[in-house]
Amino acid sequence: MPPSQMMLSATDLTRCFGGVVAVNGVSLAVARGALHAVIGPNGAGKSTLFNLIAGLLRPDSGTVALEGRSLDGLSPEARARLGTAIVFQAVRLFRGMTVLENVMVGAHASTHHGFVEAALRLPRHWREEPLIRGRAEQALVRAGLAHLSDRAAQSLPLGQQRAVQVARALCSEPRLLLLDEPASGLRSGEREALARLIEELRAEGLTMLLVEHDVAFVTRLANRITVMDRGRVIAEGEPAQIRQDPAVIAAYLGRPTEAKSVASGG
Amino acid sequence: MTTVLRSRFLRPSSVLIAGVALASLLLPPLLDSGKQTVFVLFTLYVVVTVGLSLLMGLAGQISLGQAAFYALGAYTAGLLAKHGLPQLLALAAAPVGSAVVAALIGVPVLRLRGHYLAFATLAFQLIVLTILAEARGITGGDIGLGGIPPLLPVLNQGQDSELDLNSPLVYCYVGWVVAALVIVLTRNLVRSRPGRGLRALATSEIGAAASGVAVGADKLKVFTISAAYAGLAGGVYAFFLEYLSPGSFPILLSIQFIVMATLGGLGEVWGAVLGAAVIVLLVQILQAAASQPGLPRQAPAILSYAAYGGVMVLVMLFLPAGLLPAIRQRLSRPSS
Repeated sequence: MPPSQMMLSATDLTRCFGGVVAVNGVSLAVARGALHAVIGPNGAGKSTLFNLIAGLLRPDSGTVALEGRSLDGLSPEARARLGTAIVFQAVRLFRGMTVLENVMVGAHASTHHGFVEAALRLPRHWREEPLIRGRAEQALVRAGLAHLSDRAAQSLPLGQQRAVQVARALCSEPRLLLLDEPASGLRSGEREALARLIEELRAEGLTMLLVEHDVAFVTRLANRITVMDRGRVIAEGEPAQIRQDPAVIAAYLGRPTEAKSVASGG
Repeated sequence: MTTVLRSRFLRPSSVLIAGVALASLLLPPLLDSGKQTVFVLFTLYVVVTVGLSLLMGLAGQISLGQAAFYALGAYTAGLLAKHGLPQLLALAAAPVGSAVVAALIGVPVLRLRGHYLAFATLAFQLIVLTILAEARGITGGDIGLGGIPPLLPVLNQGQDSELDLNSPLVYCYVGWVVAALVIVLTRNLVRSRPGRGLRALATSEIGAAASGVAVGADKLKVFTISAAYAGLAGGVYAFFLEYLSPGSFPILLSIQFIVMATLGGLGEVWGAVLGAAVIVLLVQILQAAASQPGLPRQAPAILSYAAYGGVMVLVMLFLPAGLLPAIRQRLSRPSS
């Protein structure tokens, strides 16, 4: 597919920590409307790759582009304004705010009224506030949290806190949703609910990049999977292919020689 | 319904606000002129504390040098008025002067966090005090800046009767109006898109930034706003006293603002009002006690230090969220 049709393209990303090359020349491209997953065993460099793509870490080399527009050197808030949204693995909800208020913050990137307009209650404040609230309420319905909107966000169980984060991301009406191990730490019922929500979003055509440790969770949801091991891409393809890929099986079962030979071959 | 009542940002009922507003409007004429002076200072402390509470509670920053911005506002207004600028313009320039200085020093200083930021702001106040004391040609140095014209005109009613509007009673209402203005503006800010962004970044700067909150710029704006409030209060102070000296803006005053904000409940507009009221009353009681015959001359100052320290310890132990949130929680509990 030509690069212009790619929602996200990461090219040759490398990042070292001291002597360890956490991500080593990784490239991947996420097509518009696709749910692209990155999997790999512990220590494969998935989270580092996620942070490089999300703009939370700077790569030593390599570039990231959103619909052909370079994101290099842009701050997380600038990236948010371009239409990316992040669901963090560590739940970063805002204390002292209700579920609804947490989700309303998600609309920040696409709304504009500032300090003066808010303090003086100028017209744009009155125009935007109901809009923000409406979008947040809609996102809460989507995430199945409408009945909790007045609760203090930090009082919810982990599964619902994750869902609040997804709702906050949806409230920004993103073009690209980045999810970092969204299923980790969830009980099976919560995991099922999250999988259903992600499936719905995929059906609506939202482009997603999902970094996940749980292979079963991913193969059910993703259209395309990139497999990492020790900082490198060892396989990429559709879920059915990936499940049978010897390099992938080797990486998960721990037979490094075979994995290496496939990685250098492809 | 109970969840609505339990919400942390429950609005104090409009009835209560109206009651507080009315009571504070009716109170000044009942006070003697000494107590009216205390009331004026109370309204100014409310203005400074609302800003500091916004800075500490919402943006998660700290300033141990808030009295420096109070002093800068006071000297800005005092010097401009003394050199011929109309008084109301000089008063309007006071918050601008403090805000400009805050915006300039904020760029480097807000790169610091926690204790480092506290010490940087403390150092800033010491620098400001030193400059005010040493620039004798401009500020009058330690002797002070006198001859500041009064804010309001002296009305000439015929031959020998004059009506001087610059009584403590009138300043009670000047302070009241300024405090009300600041409370309304701040409340509007908190309950809006930028206010939510600030509350968000106080917990998680990364989470807020990923949602599109301009973390660095917003922190600088809040720092500047809190300085502007302090400067505005300082401007009123300059006209009220008609005399300024560096000694009126000690470090103890900065600490007093922090105690007021923390006691009331950080990030709570009405908490700042409550905190300022409690501390002003406490200091009044202590001063009455410390000026009993037989006590040393330094007794009032020593007692205030002890009181601020004691209040801080008690708040940390028993009311970590502050008075207002604690009261609100107590009131909402039976219904939940």
